[in-house]
Parts: sequence; structure tokens; C-alpha cells
Amino acid sequence: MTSISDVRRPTGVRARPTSFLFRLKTCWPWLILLPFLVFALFPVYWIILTAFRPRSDIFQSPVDLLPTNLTLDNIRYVWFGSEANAPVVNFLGTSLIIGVVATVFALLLGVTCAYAVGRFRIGGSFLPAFILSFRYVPPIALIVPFWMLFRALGLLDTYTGLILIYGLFSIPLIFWLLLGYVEAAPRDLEEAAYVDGASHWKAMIHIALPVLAPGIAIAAVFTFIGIWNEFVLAYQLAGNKVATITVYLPRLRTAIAELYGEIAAASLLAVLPGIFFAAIMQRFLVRGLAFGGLK
Amino acid sequence: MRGSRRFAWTLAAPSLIGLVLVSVVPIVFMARTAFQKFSPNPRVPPRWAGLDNFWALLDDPQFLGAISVTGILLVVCLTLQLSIGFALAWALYHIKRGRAVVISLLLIPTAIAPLIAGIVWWMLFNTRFGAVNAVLGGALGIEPIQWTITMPYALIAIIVATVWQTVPFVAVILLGGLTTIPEEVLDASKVDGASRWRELRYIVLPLLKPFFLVSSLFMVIDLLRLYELPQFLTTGGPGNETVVTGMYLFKLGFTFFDLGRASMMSLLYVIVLTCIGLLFVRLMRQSTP
Repeated sequence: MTSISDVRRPTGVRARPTSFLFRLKTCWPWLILLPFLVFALFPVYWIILTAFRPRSDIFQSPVDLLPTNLTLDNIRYVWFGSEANAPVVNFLGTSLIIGVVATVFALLLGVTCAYAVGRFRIGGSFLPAFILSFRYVPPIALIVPFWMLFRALGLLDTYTGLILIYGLFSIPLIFWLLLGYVEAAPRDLEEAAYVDGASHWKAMIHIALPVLAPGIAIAAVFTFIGIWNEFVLAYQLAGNKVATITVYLPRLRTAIAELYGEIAAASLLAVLPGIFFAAIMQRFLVRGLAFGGLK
Repeated sequence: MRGSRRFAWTLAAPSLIGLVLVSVVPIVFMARTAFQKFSPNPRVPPRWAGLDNFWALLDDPQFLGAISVTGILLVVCLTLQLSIGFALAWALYHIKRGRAVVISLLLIPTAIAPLIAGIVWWMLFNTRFGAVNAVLGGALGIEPIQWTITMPYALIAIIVATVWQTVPFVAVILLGGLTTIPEEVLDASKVDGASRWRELRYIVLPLLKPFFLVSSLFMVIDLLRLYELPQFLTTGGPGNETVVTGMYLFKLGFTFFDLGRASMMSLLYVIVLTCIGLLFVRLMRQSTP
């Protein structure tokens, strides 16, 4: 079949598949993707490289972009602590405790809320929009009143305070991720259970929630990473007795010397959960985020 | 079924109460403290100050400076985020093999804490020991640039780091949008002889409008909340020339300890964010039939 576009093109292009034009036609996406991949991943490479470099290599001029000497010293100083810095383990532990407890707390609230709204259509079209609108207000906009309220309530620098605020702030995200799952899940099974005399609670716990499990898992990962990476609330509402990994990192910079290697080593430990998450979540992200975003 | 609504409201109630606690309560509280003058001594009770805090902000060169820096960042970053994001999405859409791997790798920056992003780029932009000057010097023979402490380089550094962290997210949303376009739509236009450019301009981009709006909304909110990344990349320097609104709010509240003025600024923040949210909801309604 000949079309106008075929006529316009020199016919030789198709006949010789190895020609430059043919290559450009099939490989052009990589001309965009490869340079950007280098840009996207170079800082990650730099964290890893600096984390395993001896001090003399970090502070050398001209800069060596490739690994020559490698050492575990930075990781060891950060993990066990040194004269200049506290051991990172306690901070990782605090982040882990707060992240897990707040995620569970947020899931208990957010999942049931999404189920109630998605299944029983309470509050019409207003309620979902109302809950989602909370995503537009970031913590930094409310940090001043939060701090004043926390001071008045004696919640500053406590596990309870941080867990409470992280948990409640995560509800809209969980709601947003799960609403689509609830609406897509078939309701026949629950209807059948009602006919058999099951209560709403039983039908939800034994029939609906297992179906929603994949969505709940994704929501849990998103929530956990968000809390793990958070700095503003962790620093201002806590940060002394209750100090997370994000509060630990800047402390390495205010020390007498700029502890580049230690900072990189601690950063590496702090970004591992996120990188793991990016690796396992891409399949969902492409489909889920685009559609969920339009809700 | 009888009792359904009651059950549903019982389930939703704790979340709704919780959301009111973390939004309505601080906003109402702030609506009072924004009109009060606080003494540096916490024992002295605040006194009513009317609109003093508001006028003081309008007279405050640092506040106005922070707004203009944030404004520049909004315009430049949003342009870069949407254009690079679309280029990546368009490229991803056209590769057959390896898409999943490429997306996984691209998404790594978005999963890194903004605080760490700031710190890493601060290392990369270091004048003597940073990789950026090493690459620029090695490849193009450019003299070392003092990135984080001179203008406009400090602002460029923030823009580069922000785009690095946020563009993959935009690309993924737009790629999701591209996959919703039926392949026949694109094929039919090719047979009609529409050139690639016209196909993009008149078919693809209009169909992607809602997806561009969603990504813009996320990016605008992300840019308005910017704090950690510039804080740890330039610390607002040189001088106060890269202090963004989030950083100035922090400074007002917790460095200057002017809680009244900080509350007023928070209140303005919430009002602006709400307006942006409402605007986007309107635009979305118009673009999705």
C-alpha cells in the first residue's frame, strides 16, 4: 500500500535497514532516554562512590570520577559512631519504629475510610473531593500552628506526637490510592455474605479486605517511604530525644569538619528503602498513578 | 441493605475526625494567632494586633524576595518539568524493549528524600571537589564555577536539583496518559499523511491535557512546599538570594521567633494553596468531557 508519507520518503530508507536514517527512526527514543538516565543516576553513583572512598580521595583536586581506592571506613564510622558523630543505628531504629507504627495506624484509618466511601457512597461526590483536598496542603504550610499546638499539649519530641501527625497526614494518600481498588472490586461476594447472614464487619474483614490486599500493600509502601523521607515535621516537632534518620544527616554537616564520606555513607543507608521501592513499584506506578491522578 | 449507611459513617468517622484535627484545628488556631503580636518571652501573653502582621509582611523585603525567588522557580521549573517530562514520556512510549527497567531506574530520584537530594547536589556542586565542575572543566574546559555561593549559579543549582528529583514523576504520569490514547488514533493520522509534528500538536497534546494539568498541580504544590532541597543545597545563599517561601516561613517562626507574623504567612500559604487546588479542579472539569 502506498500512502502519501511513503511517497515523500526516499525509498532507499526501507530497503537498507542499516542506513543511518533507519537507525535514527528506531533508536531516537534512546537518544533522549540515555542522556537523561545518566543525569538521573549520576548523583546516586556519587553517593555510593563517596560512601566507599577514603578521605584522601574525596578531597582531591582534580576530581577523580572513577573509583580507584575503596574502603569501608565511612560506613563503619557511621554505623558504630566516631568522635565526630553518633552511631546511625539509633536513628535508623527510631525512623523504623515511627514509620511502621504510623503506617499501620494510617492504614487502619485510611483503608476503612476508602472502603466506606467507595462501597457505600456516603457523602455523595463531596466527601471524596473533601478528603483528597487535604493533599493540597503540605506540612510546611502548617508547621507553625502545629508547633504551637504541640508545645501546648506537651507532644513536642515524643513518639506519640510524630506517629499521630504522620498517621493522620497519610490518610488522604491511602484514601487516594485505594478508592479505585474499592470501586473496581466486585461486590457480589459481599452481597452473598449478607444474604448468608454475615454482618457488615464480617463481610468487610473476611471478604473485602483480602481482595484489596495488593492495593493495601502498595499504599503501605508509599506511606512508609513518605514518612521515612520526611524532614520538616521530624526536625521541628521532635529531633532531640526522638530523632529520625533525616534529622541525623544534617548533624554531620554542622560538625567541625564537613564529613563528606560519613554523610554519603549515612545517605546511602537512608535511600536504600526508597530505591528498593522504586524498583518494585514501577509496574503499578505507570498504570495506577496516571488513572488515580484523574480522579 | 438497612444499616449500611450507619456502618459506613462509623467506618469513615475516625478518619474524618483525624483529618479535621490536622487541618481545621491548626487553621482555626492560626486564624487567631495571625492577628496577634507575640513577645519573645513565652510567659508574656500575646496581644491583639489587628492586621499589623499582614502589613509588616508586605513591607518585609525578605518576604517579597522569597516570593519572587519562588515565582522564578515556579515558572522555570514548571516549563522544564513539563517539556522534559513529555520528551521522556514520548520516548518511553516508543521503545519496545526495556521500558520497565528504564522506568525503574528513572524513578530512583523521586524516591530519594528531598533532604538527601539537597545534600547530594551540594556535594556535586562543590567548587573544588564536586563532580559538576570536574565534568564541565574536563569536557568543555570551563573554569570552576562557585555554584552554591554566587548568583545566578545558586538558583541554577536549585533548578537542576529540583528538575532532577521531580521530572521522572511527570514523565510517568504523561506516559500513563499516552497509553490511554487508542493506537488507531495515532495510526489513522499517519495514513492521512499528517506529519509527526502535526500529529503531536493537534492530536496527542490535546488528548493529554488533563494529564498535563494533573502533573502541573502536583508540581506547583511540590514547588510551593520546597524547603529541604534549597535549605541543604544553598542554605538560601548567597545572602538571602535563594530563600524560598518555605524557608522564610521557617525562619520567621523558628529563627526570628515572630510567631504572629509566621502564622500570618502560614495563613496566606493555606489560602494560596486552596485557591490553586480549586483552580485546577475547575480546569480539570473543563478539559474532561
